[in-house]
Amino acid sequence: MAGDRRIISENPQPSGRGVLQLRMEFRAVDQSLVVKLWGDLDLQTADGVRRALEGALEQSKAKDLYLDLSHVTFIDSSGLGMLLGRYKRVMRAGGVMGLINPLPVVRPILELSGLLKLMPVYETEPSILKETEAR
Amino acid sequence: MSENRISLELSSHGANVGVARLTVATFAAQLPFTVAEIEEIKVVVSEAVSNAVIHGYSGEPGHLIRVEAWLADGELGIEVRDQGRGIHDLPAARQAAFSSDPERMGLGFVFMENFSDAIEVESQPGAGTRVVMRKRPQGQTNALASGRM
Repeated sequence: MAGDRRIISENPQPSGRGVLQLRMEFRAVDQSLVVKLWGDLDLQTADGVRRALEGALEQSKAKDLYLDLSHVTFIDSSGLGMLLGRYKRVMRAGGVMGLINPLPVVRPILELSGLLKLMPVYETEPSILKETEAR
Repeated sequence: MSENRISLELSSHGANVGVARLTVATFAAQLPFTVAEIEEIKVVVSEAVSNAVIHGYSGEPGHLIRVEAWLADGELGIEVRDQGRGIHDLPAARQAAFSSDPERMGLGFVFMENFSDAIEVESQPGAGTRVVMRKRPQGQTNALASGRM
């Protein structure tokens, strides 16, 4: 895909691959970091995701962050807090944070928390890349 | 349907938050909850157990959290108890955006209240916290209200 650079790291968690674990894949596209997640965002995983996202943002020097939530099967307030913390960091640096394709099961909690009013939600990734290339 | 009950004793470990919500969700599926309602049940259990870990026991593993769930008269009941710090100012703690941690949104009680039909919280500083939630499948609630059952 035009604009792809490299996968920065995959599965940075030292944990295993059980049903309650979480996996991440990072991709830098122009000024954006696109991160795909698989699993649950809760007390157990939120801290590791936070550290991995902070590290990847530092390493990539990306300004914008897009989280592909199409395989995130659960989010509670620990996960929401992690999302809000990353949103604040990206916004302070003048960037944009967007969510890609959150599943129907997590939308109620994203809506109730107000996060969907803060962050744009995209159905698919290609529209993100087009917007990035247009800038 | 006949009554049923489960009781879990968990160490205050972050990994057990997921264990608790999946176990209670599986148990709750004996009632005709929708997929969305089961997700709500997973959230309320996750919030209550996370609170016990983070606030009750300051994030320290190795302390006891009790989770009980029961089915009676077509309704799910859930109790989460810890013997930790207790809540100093319960009304304040139950308000949205009250959180001592900048990475958390302080919405745990908001979700518990929104996603259950009823919630009771008992807490004393130094004597632990007890949260009881009840939830009935919405289809049954509507049927009862309209007199179909």
